[in-house]
Amino acid sequence: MVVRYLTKQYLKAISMNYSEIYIGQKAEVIHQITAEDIQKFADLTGDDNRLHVDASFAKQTAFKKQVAHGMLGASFISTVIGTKLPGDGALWFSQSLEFLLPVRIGDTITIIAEVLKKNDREESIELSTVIFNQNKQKVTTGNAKVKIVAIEESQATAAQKVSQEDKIALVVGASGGIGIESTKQLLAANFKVIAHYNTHKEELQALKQSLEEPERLMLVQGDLTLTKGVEQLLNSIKRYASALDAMIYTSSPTVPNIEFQQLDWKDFQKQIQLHVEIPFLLTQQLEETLAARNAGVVFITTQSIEQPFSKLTHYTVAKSALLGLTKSLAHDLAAKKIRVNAVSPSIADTDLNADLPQKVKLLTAAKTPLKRLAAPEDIAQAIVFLADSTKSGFITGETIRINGGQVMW
Amino acid sequence: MPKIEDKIREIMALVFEVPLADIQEDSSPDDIHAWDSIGTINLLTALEEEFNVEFEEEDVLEMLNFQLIKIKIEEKLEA
Repeated sequence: MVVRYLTKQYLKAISMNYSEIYIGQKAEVIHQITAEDIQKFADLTGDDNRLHVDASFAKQTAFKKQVAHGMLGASFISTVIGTKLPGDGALWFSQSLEFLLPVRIGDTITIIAEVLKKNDREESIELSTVIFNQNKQKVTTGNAKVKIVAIEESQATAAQKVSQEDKIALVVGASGGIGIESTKQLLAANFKVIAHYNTHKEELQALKQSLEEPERLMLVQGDLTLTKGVEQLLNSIKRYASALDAMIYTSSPTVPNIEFQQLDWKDFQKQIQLHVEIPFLLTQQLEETLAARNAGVVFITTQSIEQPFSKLTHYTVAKSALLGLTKSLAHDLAAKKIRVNAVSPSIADTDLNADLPQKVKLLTAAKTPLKRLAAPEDIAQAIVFLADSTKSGFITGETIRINGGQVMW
Repeated sequence: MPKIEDKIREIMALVFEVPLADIQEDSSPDDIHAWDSIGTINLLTALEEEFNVEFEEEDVLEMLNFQLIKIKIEEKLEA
């Protein structure tokens, strides 16, 4: 497994003042063009030129294969300018473009913006905007002019960042059963929530729309198995909040039952990555952000640590390491007044366990003193308690078992 | 032919001397008074006779409530 090293620049806020920008400063975005991108772009703009959307038509032309809309690639210039250089508050008022080479499905494009000139009088900048493909060929080139809208610090705090009075929590893996329930309960407990998801946005989107103040729930996407996804999440967090009151980590890969002789070290790595590596990285990168508010960090371990479930060695080992991380961080981060705790549920009735045979679920429930499986609500209540420093401010390095009495000693 | 679960329900009501309606999906020794260790033996014997199956010790450990008994008998009949 490759341990990733994220540069400390992610600790910096993303939107910049004019004075912070220097000539030669660069920012980039990388994106792989898919057939779906082209279809979405055609749907949005109505440009369904068959050279773009019809493979058999494209075959009859000199291009031979479908070509992405030139403006599709160029759209990512907007992403670089609007989110990175200069970021929030960028007012893009001019852009020249020259399309040099076609971009095709599967191409990975790198969009680089570089500051060429600063105009002090109007506080605007000129940037070169160049797009390369994976073969380092220039496919698009042009220049942009961007004005940086001045934001007064007090207004900036009110408008873009959460004010001092608001409690704000980060929920990583918020689209899962435990994640979404924790998000709901945090909102009910007057937290603003930055909810991270990877692929399943629908339920979170519906929750957001159902809120009286939808802005209290901020959705951020990122595939945490990729360095890029982790960076994307960290960037988004910086844009939404300068400090966090709580971080709840619930992300998990799928957890297949595997016989001991069939286990491969890769099975362990998959579990360790999302149960140990990413929680470690996020806590490390967000340490100052969490320290600013004496935050509560909550991880999810499992009953299997104390009473192993069959055929889950890979999972149980990774979760045991997460327990080690919980206690070590609780000790080391106590100096910064960051509390780190865990909840340890028994088998819960969530999507993650959807593949578990009905018999196993029934047997587990029957053998549990309280005669049922854990519900996401049971787990989320304990999570919110541990996350909220006004409720559990003197608890750290602790694990709350949520197992209906199956293990108690 | 009546469904397996109807038969099980009938047998349980007979063995434990309770009305048929008292046998629920999650009925277990917790809520049926006569379902003690002797009741368990009586129930298992009656079920073995009715369905012409034999329960091993490890089977019995899994037959903890109505639903689980049903699953166990279905497994036995399929085997």
